Amino acid sequence: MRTRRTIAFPLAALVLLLALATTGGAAPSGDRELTVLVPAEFPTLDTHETVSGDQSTVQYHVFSRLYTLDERMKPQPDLFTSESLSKDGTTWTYELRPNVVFHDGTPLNAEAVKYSYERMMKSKGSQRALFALIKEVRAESPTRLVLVTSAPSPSLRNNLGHAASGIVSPAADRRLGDGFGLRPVGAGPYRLQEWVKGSHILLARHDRYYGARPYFDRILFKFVTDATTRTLLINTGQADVALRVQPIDIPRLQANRGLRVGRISGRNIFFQLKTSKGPFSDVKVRWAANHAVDKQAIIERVLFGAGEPARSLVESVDGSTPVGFYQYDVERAKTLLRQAGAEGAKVLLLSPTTRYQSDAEVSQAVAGYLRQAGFDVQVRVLGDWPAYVAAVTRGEFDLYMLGWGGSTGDPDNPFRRLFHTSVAGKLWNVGGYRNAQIDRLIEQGGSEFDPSRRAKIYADLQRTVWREAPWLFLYRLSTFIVSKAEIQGIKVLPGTEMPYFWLAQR
Amino acid sequence: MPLPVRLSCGVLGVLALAAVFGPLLPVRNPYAQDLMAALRPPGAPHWLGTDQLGRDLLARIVIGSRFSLLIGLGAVAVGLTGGVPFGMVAGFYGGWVDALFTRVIDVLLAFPGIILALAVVAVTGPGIGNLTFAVGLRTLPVLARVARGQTLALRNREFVDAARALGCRPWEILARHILPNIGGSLVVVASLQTATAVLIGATLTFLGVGASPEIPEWGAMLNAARPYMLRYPHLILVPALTLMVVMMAFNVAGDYLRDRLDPYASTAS
Repeated sequence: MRTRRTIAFPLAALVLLLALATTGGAAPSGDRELTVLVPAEFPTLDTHETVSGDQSTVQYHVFSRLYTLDERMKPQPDLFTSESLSKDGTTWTYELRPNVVFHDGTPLNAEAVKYSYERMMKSKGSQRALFALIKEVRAESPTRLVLVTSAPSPSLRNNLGHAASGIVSPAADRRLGDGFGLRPVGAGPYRLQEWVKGSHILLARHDRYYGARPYFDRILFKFVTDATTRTLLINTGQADVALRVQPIDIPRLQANRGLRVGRISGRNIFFQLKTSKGPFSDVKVRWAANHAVDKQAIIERVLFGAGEPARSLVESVDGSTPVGFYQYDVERAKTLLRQAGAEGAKVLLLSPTTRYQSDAEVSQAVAGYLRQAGFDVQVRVLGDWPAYVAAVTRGEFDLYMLGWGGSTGDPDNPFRRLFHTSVAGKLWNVGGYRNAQIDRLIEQGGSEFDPSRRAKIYADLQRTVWREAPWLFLYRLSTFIVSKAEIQGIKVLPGTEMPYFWLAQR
Repeated sequence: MPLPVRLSCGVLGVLALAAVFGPLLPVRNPYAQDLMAALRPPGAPHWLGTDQLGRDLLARIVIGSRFSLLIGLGAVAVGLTGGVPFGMVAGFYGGWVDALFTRVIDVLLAFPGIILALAVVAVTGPGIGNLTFAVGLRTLPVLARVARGQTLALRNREFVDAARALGCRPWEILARHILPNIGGSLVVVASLQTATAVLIGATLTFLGVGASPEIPEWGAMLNAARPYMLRYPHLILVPALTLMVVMMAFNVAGDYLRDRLDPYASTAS
């Protein structure tokens, strides 16, 4: 070690000197590139077909929105200079920023916003729910936009700040048709320069961007699916940022002084139980499952500490509050099973793999715990996410693993989509949970503007759902973003575990 | 018998014993999890260490031998029952039958083995049985080709003419007179194909198209060990070295069999 250090210092000094001599201390403008290692590719960049966090990250750079979410998932004004809401809480009027242009040079005005929102409302994408309450979009002048909702909608701001709510260039969309997703045109701080499937996406700065000029000229998103490879690349300085580094590698990277390890408390991981039929239709069996699993041990041993036991449903949303904890207690689980007359109940556990951190391993560990409590568990792992979703949709499970972070930061969207009777038996309440009281609370919370009343409604909702246990609650997952120490200003949205870089610099 | 061959036979013998009597051997339960004992390095009481869920690796290797052998032998059985009659009929009748059958074999051979097996599993769904069938479909054309070639060489020999003159029906000639004479070559090819089949089976489960990850199949164990390989190399070394030794044993033993049984060994290799 000593010899290496004695060589290393003069060497580093020399390199530094050379760098100073040639560049004057910083990379010349036009040559600043940020390399980001992304775990998974996606079929499209169309903002209205957003399905994954990695995809959202790129979309957030390419498209701009009325609002941009900050690091606490609070919507901040982006494309407008003033907003006002009518007394009845249903009509929003926006004064848009003037002189905003898309990457193709066409203007972003009220007509373009109207076009985008109507396009979204007509789309078949799963995020259409974000726009469900919008009844009418009016462009009253090039800079005046009016939105009318069918009911008061306090979550509208958050919904319009979601990665799926980007504004598309109408001219480009009409010209490209179905090809728009591969050659997206927005008005965000970066434009798409190149997309080589299976390899990388290269973004270049949008020189007519309306906001502060981003430091980096280009951002290179490189697809590296293997987690160990991402660790090796970031550890040897061959990339600036690595997303979703696996927890087992964190100690090794923390020992590297040139790196900064960012930890994000992100989505909740749980098993949704089939409450509509089978063993889990009995609440005692659901309690038994919740008491059977040692969450703490799974976090420590399988996730290498990358999580915290869940104390509520979706903890990254506004208004989430700790409502309980099912203590690990095998005897109690056995007793509950016996009381329900469900000893040896056959259950099919469906698990994805490489979707969430260590998902297949956690599923096996959960299966092991359930067996100890007296369940007869069959494990089925499906690697391909669309195939997994298809199997879930067909109801081929008694319990299936799911992760949910509040991608808008607002509680309305997750709770409505996970617990409302109107989606019972469909995605994402495929378990078929029905409770009229919960439906009422969702409706009330969805149109309540007063923060304290709203908080109380959602606290009631969380307590009730926790008690009825339509899920096997597990943990809130931590994810790790590792970057070079000299890079500052990376912003991260905890709800989607998604970073953005237009404020970053070296 | 040279020493490497003896060693190989020893390895295969142990493998067969483990596969047949595995559950009776004094090993732990390969499915029993103990998170608190996860990722232990080799040493007492877990002689090969434990995996990421605290399962005993020795037990998983021993019980896993059953799945590997099952896939290897099962696949060759599929290849033999399907490929040999096919190839023999083609070789015996010649003419347009031969031309047609050979084209079919060529089409099967044209697919890279793993791609073909992947496609079959994609259609039939996961599971050890389907996997075996998929790998078998890959060994089928190889065995069919050998059977055809050997039959072609024998069909005009005197003993075949004699059988025909005595009024034997074609299937009798094929089964009673030709099959015993090409048996040696088939055994040699089949033994070498078993090695390939075990490896392809492990490759497929490594790629995640096998069965449930709880099943201690060697390829699946390799795949599951990947995230841990930098800090806990024993997780990947144990199944990898096992697979390597078994492959070597099959190949050495197969080569030896060829030297002894195959009349063409000296010219074709």
